[in-house]
Order: sequence, then structure tokens, then C-alpha cells
Amino acid sequence: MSRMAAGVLAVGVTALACAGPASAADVLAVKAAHIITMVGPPLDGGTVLIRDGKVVRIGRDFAIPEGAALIEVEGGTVMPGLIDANAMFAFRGEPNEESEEITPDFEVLQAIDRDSPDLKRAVQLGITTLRVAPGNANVIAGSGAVIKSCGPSLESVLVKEGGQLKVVMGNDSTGGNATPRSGRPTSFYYRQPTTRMGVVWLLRQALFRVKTALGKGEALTPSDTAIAEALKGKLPVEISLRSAVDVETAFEVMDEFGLRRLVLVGCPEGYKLSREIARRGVPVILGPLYAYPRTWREASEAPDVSLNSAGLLAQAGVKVALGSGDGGGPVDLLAWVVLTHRYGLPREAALAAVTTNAADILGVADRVGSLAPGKDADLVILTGDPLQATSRVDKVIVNGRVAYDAQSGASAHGEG
Amino acid sequence: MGPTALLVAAQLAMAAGEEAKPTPLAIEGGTVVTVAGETIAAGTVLVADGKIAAVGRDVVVPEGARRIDATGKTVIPGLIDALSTLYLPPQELAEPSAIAPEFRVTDGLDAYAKDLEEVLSYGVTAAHVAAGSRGLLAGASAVVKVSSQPGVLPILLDTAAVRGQIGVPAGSTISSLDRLGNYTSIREALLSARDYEWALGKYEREFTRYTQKTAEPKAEEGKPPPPPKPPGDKPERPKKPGPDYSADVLLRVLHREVPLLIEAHRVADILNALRLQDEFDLRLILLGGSEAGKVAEEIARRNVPVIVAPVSLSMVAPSKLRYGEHSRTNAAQLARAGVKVALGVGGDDPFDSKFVRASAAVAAEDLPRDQALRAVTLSAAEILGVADHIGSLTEGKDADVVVVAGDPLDVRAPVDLVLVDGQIAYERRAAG
Amino acid sequence: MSTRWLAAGTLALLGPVALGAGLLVRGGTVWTGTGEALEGGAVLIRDGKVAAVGRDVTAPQGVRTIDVTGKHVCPGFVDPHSSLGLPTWEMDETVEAVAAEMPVDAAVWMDRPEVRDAVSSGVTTLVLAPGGANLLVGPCPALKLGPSPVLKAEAAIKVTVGPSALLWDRKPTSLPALLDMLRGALSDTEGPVGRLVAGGAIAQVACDGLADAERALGLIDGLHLKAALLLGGAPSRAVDLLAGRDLPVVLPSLALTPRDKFLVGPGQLAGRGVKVAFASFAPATQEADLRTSAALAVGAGMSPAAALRALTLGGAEAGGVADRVGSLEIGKDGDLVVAAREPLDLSGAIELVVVDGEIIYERVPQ
Repeated sequence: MSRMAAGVLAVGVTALACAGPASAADVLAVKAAHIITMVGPPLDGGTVLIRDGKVVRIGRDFAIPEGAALIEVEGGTVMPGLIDANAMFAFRGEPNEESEEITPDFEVLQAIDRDSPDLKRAVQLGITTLRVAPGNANVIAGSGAVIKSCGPSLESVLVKEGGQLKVVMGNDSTGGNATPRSGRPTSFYYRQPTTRMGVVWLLRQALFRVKTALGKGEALTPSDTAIAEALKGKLPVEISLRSAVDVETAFEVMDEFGLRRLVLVGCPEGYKLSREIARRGVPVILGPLYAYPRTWREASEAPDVSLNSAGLLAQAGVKVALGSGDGGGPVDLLAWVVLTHRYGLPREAALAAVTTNAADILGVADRVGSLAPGKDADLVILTGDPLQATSRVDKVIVNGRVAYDAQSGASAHGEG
Repeated sequence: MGPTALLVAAQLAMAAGEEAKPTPLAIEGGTVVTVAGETIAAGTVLVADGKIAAVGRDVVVPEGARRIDATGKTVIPGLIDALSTLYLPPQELAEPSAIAPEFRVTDGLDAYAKDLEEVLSYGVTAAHVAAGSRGLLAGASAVVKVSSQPGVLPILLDTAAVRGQIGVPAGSTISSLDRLGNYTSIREALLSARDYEWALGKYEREFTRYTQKTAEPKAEEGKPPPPPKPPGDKPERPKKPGPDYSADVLLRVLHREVPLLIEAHRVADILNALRLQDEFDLRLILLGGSEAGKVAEEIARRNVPVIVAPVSLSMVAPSKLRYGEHSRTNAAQLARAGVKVALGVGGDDPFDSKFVRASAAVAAEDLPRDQALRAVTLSAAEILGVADHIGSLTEGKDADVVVVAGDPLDVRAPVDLVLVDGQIAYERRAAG
Repeated sequence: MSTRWLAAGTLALLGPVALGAGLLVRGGTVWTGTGEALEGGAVLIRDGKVAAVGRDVTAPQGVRTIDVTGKHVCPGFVDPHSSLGLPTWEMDETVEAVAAEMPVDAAVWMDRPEVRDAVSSGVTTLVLAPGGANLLVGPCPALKLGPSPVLKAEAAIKVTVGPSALLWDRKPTSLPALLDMLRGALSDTEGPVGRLVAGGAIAQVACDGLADAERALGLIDGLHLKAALLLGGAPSRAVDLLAGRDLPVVLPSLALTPRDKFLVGPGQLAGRGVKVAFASFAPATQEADLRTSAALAVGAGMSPAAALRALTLGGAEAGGVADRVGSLEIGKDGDLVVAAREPLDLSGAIELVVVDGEIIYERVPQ
């Protein structure tokens, strides 16, 4: 009897409309006991009105228009969809063009696999926006792309393409490189760098080459354009690293070439230099931190991880955001918010680390990171307060469409 | 009546009481191809208690029975895939060791397999599942029904046959020495099972003698007790041969309780398989048989049935078509020589079983149409030893019934309805 | 090149019956591939081309007449993507990622068993292509399984957009770089690729999955390529993406897309106006599986007309040879198939195959 009943229930679940053709003129009203907008104080009870994928109104006393679909979670909290500022998953093929070490014009957008089960998992974790970065195998790796975690087409998910020049310091980019033992080198992996010295050398060489060319007014190759933009201060340089030593080296090299718009990524030992980082006004995208190490590189480098990293950095005045980093798909960002708060990050900063701070650093704050009229309707509905460890994701809305509903377990991603 | 209504009706019926019987079901107006008997135009198939209650032109349909109109359609027995990997998770296809006849495929079946609805929608209601395609003697195969309920795995026959092979390459090729080695290994296994039987018999006899010799003489009434035996000269207790599970299974084969299913494709390997039958007088079933048509007479003479698999559909197992010189007319050649033929899809993937009808269609290029259909219904059931349950629309058999919206051998005509054990297992929804 | 082909062709095939004057096939139901079926119709072939199609076709002097009353006649099937005759080790020239001067026919062994089997499959034209380990490879010839094997020497180039073209120790290792290289090679009008494209070769763009299909379409649109899409992954998921485009979409033989349960994809695509074709990707599947795929697609909901079109004109369009083959029309090549029952009824055997007016296969009655 119960098996039959289960069959009927299964027939009754409707497929959610994220990946399917849903009407863009849909009006959605989300009611909750608490609304955290990340602009101004939170509301105790109220409604978020959504039309055509954008937030149109947030408040307590207005009528919901006729025909609007209503979502209400009792006792629930609405907050902006989470932003993963350094997502290194959902790739199709390799995330780097490994035939060379310096690939400033590599754009990761075409390497993103929108069918990846990692994106499906990201949605379930409440992550609505993610910045996909190129891999760590190249010294100058190129640029990433900010996308929504769910949507029917590439255009519909793309928020921002490019926007930084990724540099990898430390020994990640030495991976796979080797010296030929004898005879002629037969593989393009027989090359520099195999050491940190080599990494710095290649980096300085590339920066020097472009700086000289700019100085002489020479024509630039297309791939050097991105470096030129960074030298002119138009493009921030994002440096992935782990050890404090690499942070110091990074600052040295950047100072040498007058590069002041920097972002540090990963950076588990950053807390040791928090004052210096703060003085320079450099933001930090932190992570992975709490499930560490995840990759064998992290294990072999074995940085001095402090669980209090985020708190110490914030205390010194550094803007902190969180990112999944390398090795194993999306992390439970909401759990990290709880952990960073437990380990010293004040409430507002902990929430900002996955919303407004991330949006600011990535340059997409006009669209995501907070709930306000005119901004994208990306929300997470939680069963309780985000800083409470027992709260979980109940529904996720991306661009005004329900992307995940924990009740039915149905997700809008198609089968792989 | 839509599917939701069907489910509700069934629920109501079940809710009527724990002991309530399911409502009888009558499929009326279609062309009923019984396979075992005649084809009835505008006939009725009455289903009750999971069995076929009646088949004919003038069947009395009891009151309260659910009536399904099959006018313009064909009603056939549920199709049987005589070589399938349904319910088998991929790792079960790998072989343990070369000679392991004691392995049973039913131990490895996954009742939550995902491809069942798809296979049902192509009219397949039963499958002969055999694991270990490259082990020399890979274990027992089984006949299972295709279930519409996850977690329910109806096993119709737990040990259908013991599967072996001669000459099936592990990689892309196999040497003639290896192929000969296959044959001799199987033969040796059978001989050693015989030896084991003999050793067991010898032990029995010795133990009887030992018991007699070491028994204390009985005291007789009224007579003085006999003198005790002198010490020394005590006979040794005979040692019982250790358990040999492999031999136990092979003895069942040697005693003709269970058939031996040998996959062989090339003529030389087929002839060696026939030699096994000649030497041991066992019940041989040939599997695969790519070149069997060339030695059809030899096969027919020994009354050996053949499961032809795959049937010229490279889409299911391209490599298998290279095991021998494959021919589309193979099944027909065998049938014309008087060999009982069944068709198996023989695909590597579980969902390949859906190509049973397509296999029958290819065979029908040459075989008379009724024989082609029989090869995926009654002949398969007979060869596998389950013909008293399935394989034809006959009173008393399981109600595994399929309604096709057209000619059963024309794959362009979709399957509209599938019953397994009298329950609706699949119903086609009209395209929206 | 053509001399080698001729010799090899003669060796491999079943001794074509040379019919100088012509061939008239009459009495059966003729499916011309352009409209409805003609019952009691006839096809006249002279000098290798279709000279007349209709109900009242009279046979000129000296023309051999074959009566196919009760049977069905349709155009020879066109397989737009096959590696028939290429042994697996000859499938991929992986040294260069972009290999535009690789004569694919140099690796073909015409007397391999699968080539002999193919003549009875109903496939009369195929585009011969190598594997997918190169970004771009060509030229791929369009071949006939008949006495004059070369239909068009530079019919197509094969482009692969997907991880299968990314090898470990060869540039490119990433999809963005792959797309850059392809764009570069395809837009360079002076280079070997550009010349092939300018010369009319169709770009058959293969993609491994749905995600790659978007990229492939971007490439095709951006460069205004004359192209066909070789779709990998489940066709039913690509319906919205492909609907409303004038782009031939080639689907591999149905068993190669197991994720599309119930085989509904081809019917859904055709229902939305997509020009669908089937390809064998031989030796992954046999040429005979094209017909099986089309029939199974009908069983899953594809319209019979669209299914037959997919095998004939659809395949021809995807191979860039629709001006010569794919339908029985006056002036086109005399390639036809006679089947015992309707063309997509698999229980009816293929009894006769004619290429360029010559009988290359005749089924021996059992």
C-alpha cells in the first residue's frame, strides 16, 4: 500500500523551473519571519517581492499583487544568496592551458561545465553566485568569470567575465614540470618553474617585458594586454598563495612594478601579516580553511593554519570574503560562516564574507550580494538564523526562479 | 483511463481488505497471438489472480472486471531476453576466477536497478541473467521477471543453467591454444567432479566396513557375553573427502538436473562443446553461436538448443560480433535444420534488453514471423526450463501480457501496455 | 587516389553488375524522399543518374528491368559520419592538434569485413572521418559503396569541441585554448583549413555533451560556418537549444546515447523542425544500425517521414552532398534500396542495393 502511495507522490512532484522555460514575467512573493538584506538593519517579518528576476520591493506593509506565487517558510530567515568568491570546480577539460606557464589571456568561461554535479551541489548549499577561477597550474593563469549557479543558458548565468589577472605564487605552478634527465626534452612539461625562485623569475620576466614594451610604446601581443591593463592599474591582480613567505614575496614583486590593486586568495597564513595587508588595503578571499588540507599540495606545504584567521584579519581591518578553493567541489559556505564567527569574526563581518564583501571584491555589487530593489533576486531561505549551526537551507532562488527546494528534494539541474 | 486513475483503482482494490483479490482484468478486441496455439482475431485474454484465466474468442468476462480495449492492436506474451545483464551492477560482469561453477548470479543482483521501466516499456517481462562472460565456468544463471517496483526482484528460476564458455576472447583476440585450453579445462573440471563423486562413494563403502569392523559385538539374550576383541590391529578410520562446492554443482550438471550453458561462437569451439555433451551425456545449451548455422546438422542431431546472442545488432555489443563470422541468417539456418532457437540480446548494458523486439525483427528477415516471435517467447522459456510459467498466452500460466499498437515484429509500433503477473507494470502515456 | 580506390573497390565489393544501358526498377512502392510514397511506381536510372521517377515510366530498349511488386524502393541511405574501414590504430593522427592536410582515405583498408558487411546495409554513401582526438582534421571524403568510390574528395572537415580533443602533452590542454585555436584556423582563409572551407567543405562539428554543444554553436554562428553538428550527449536535452535552426544535427546510432531513455530525443528534435540525421560512427556501430536506429526512433515517437528523411536527405545535408544523393529525383545519382517491406520495417530484409545504377548487392533467397 505504501509503495503505491509513494508512486503517486512521485508522479505529483513538478520539475522546478530553473533550467526549464519558465515565464520571465513571473511574480514571486517571499515571506519570512526575518529578512537579512545586508543593506541596513534586518527586518523582523516582511515580504520580498520579485518580478522578472529582480527584487522590486522589500518591506512589511504592502499588498501582494494578484497572481503572484507565494513562498512562505514559517520561522524562516531570508538572506541574499551566498557568493563563493573563489570556486575552483565545475570545469570541463583542464582549468588551465598548460602548454605554457604565462597565459594572461586565458579566460575560464569556456571551460565551465554548466552540467557539472558540483554546480548542483553548490545550489543545494545555498550558493547562488560563484566566481570560477582558472586552475593553479600556471604562474599567470588568466582570468575567471562570475556566474550564477543555475540557469537555462550561458547568457542567463553570466554576471561578469574577466575582471582580474590571476597570479599563482608558491609552488602550485611548478606542478608537473621537470628537468629532462638526458637527451632532448620531448614534453612541454620540461620547463620552468620547478621552484619558487623559478616562479618569481617568470613572473618578473613577464611583468618586465610588458612594462618595457609599454614604456617604449611598442605594440603589445594580444596575450600581454591583460598584463598591461594590470600595470596601468585598470585590472586588479589576484594572487593565490598559502604561506606568509609568499605573501611577502608577492608584495615585493608587486611593489617593484607599482602594482597596488591586489587581492590575496587562499592565504591561510595571511593572519601573520594582517597589519601589513590591512595597511595596503588589500582584501583577502579566504579558503579553504576549515577542512584542511584537501589536496596533497596543501598537505606537503603544510602552512600554519589558524582557525582564527578570519577574525584576526578582520580585527586588523582587512576585508575578508570566503571561497571554496581547490580540491573537491563547493564547500558548505554557510557552515563556514558559523565557524568564522565562532573563531572570532563578528556577526556582520561573517555574513558579509559570503555576501557584500565578496560582491565588492569581485566588482559585482551592483547586482548581487544584498537584497535591494533593482538587484538580482538571488535569495536563500533558511530554517533559522544563518549563524545558528542547526539552520539549514530550505529553498534557493536564483534570478527569481526556485532553483532548489529541500522539501521535495527536486533540483532544477537536469540529469548528468 | 489514465495512469493515476489506474493506481487509485488498484489502491482502492487493495484497501478493500488484506485478503481481497485484485480485480480481474480482460484485454479485449485485439489480435491475440498465443504462440503456443492459434492466433485469435478479436480475442480476449482474461487475467485473474496473477495468472491467465482464459484465452479465446468467446470468453466470459466476470462482473466487476476491468476491461481494456485492444482493438486494432496485438496481444502477445511478455517477451523474454534469453541473454541479459538486467539487475547486474557493472562490477558483477567481471570474473572471479576461471573455474567457479558454484557462484550464483542471484547473489549479485541489485533489486534497485534503474533500467527496469525502460526495459518494460519495450515489452520485455523476463530475462535470463548470466554473469561472468569470460570465466570458463562462471556460475549459475537465473531467470528473473522485470519488476515495476524498486526493491522487488522476482526470481523465477534461481539456477537456470551453469554457464561456461569456450573460445570467448578476454581481450580482442584469443589464440587457438587458449581456446583448446578452455575446452580441456572444462572437461577436466567435469572429470574431477566425477572423481569426487567416486571418492565420496568409496568413502561411504569404506566407512561402512570400518563401522562394522569396529562395532562392539552385541550381547545376545540368554547367552554369555562374547569375549572382548584382542587389542592391536584396529583399522584406520577412513577420511572423508573435503567439501567441494564446485564439484557439487557440476555433479548436478552431470546428473542432468541442471543444463550446461556453453558460449561458443566459432565452429571448432561449438564442436568441442558438442563433444562435452557426447562424452558426459549432459544437457547442453549453446549460447552465442555466431557460426552455429554452419554446423546446424550436428547440433540438430543431438537435440541441443541454441540461444543466439547477439543478433546482428552491433549497437549492443560491437566487439561480440567479431567473435566469429557473424551472419544475419544464423538463427534461420539453425531453425531450418530443426534446432530449437531462442534469441538473446546479449548486450553489455542492462538496458540493452529493450532490443529484444529489434532482435526478433532482424531474425524475421529470414525466419517465418511466427517462429521469430516464438524465439523470444515460448522457445526461450522452454530452453530455460520455465515454460510452465511463461512464454505463451495459455491458461494457468503467469499473466505476463504485452499489448503492441501494431505488428509485434515491427519496432515502429510502440508497446501500449505491459502486465507482469497480472499487474499493470507499464502503460504508455499518449504524447502531449 | 582515384585509381587506388577503383582497384580496392572492385576487390572488396561483390562484383558489380555492369549495366551500361540502364536499370528500371518497377512495380513496388517508391519512397522518393521528397514527398509521399508512389504505389506501383518506378525508377529509371541511366548513365548512373536517375532519369525518371513516377507511375508511368516506360523502359527504353536494352534497359534491364527488375520487377519489385509488393516491395518497397527508397533512396540509398547516407551515413554522414563513419570511420568504416579505418582500423582503430589509424583513427587518430594525434601529433598535430589541427591536421588539415591528412588524406583520410590513405588509411582505409577496403577489404576489412565490416566494409563487406556494409554493402547489404542499405547505406550507399558515407562521409569517411577519423576519430575525435584532433581539434580539426581533414579533408574527409564522401564515398560511395560502389564502383566509383569517390563522390567528393573534400566533402567535410571534422572539428571536435570537447574534452576528447584535449590530450595531455599537446597544446591545447584546455577548452578556451581549443576554441581560440579553432577560431584561428577556421578564419585563416590562406591556410589549409580556410581553403577547404572556402572550397565548400562542410564543417562537421562534434561535441561531447550538451555543455559543449553551446560552445560549438557559438563557434558555428560566430564564423558563419557551413556546418553540421555531431551531437554527443542526450538529444532530448538539446531540443530547446537546437530548435529553429537551419543546422543539420547528426545523432549517433541510438545505442550510443543510452542516457536518452526511451529513445525519444530524435523524435522531439524533428518535431521542433530540426534537420536530424543518423550516423554510425563505424566501427563503433555497424552501418546496418542506421536503419535500426531510425525504426526504433519511430517506435519512440518520431514521425515515420522524419525518420526516413533522416536516413536519406538528412544524412546527405549533413555530409554536404545533398546535391548528388539522398533522394530519388531526376539528375541525382541512381542510388536506391529495395526492401521486402516498408523501408523502416526491420522485419523486412534489404534485398537489393543499387549504386550509380549498378547492382552492388542482391540478397540470395534462403
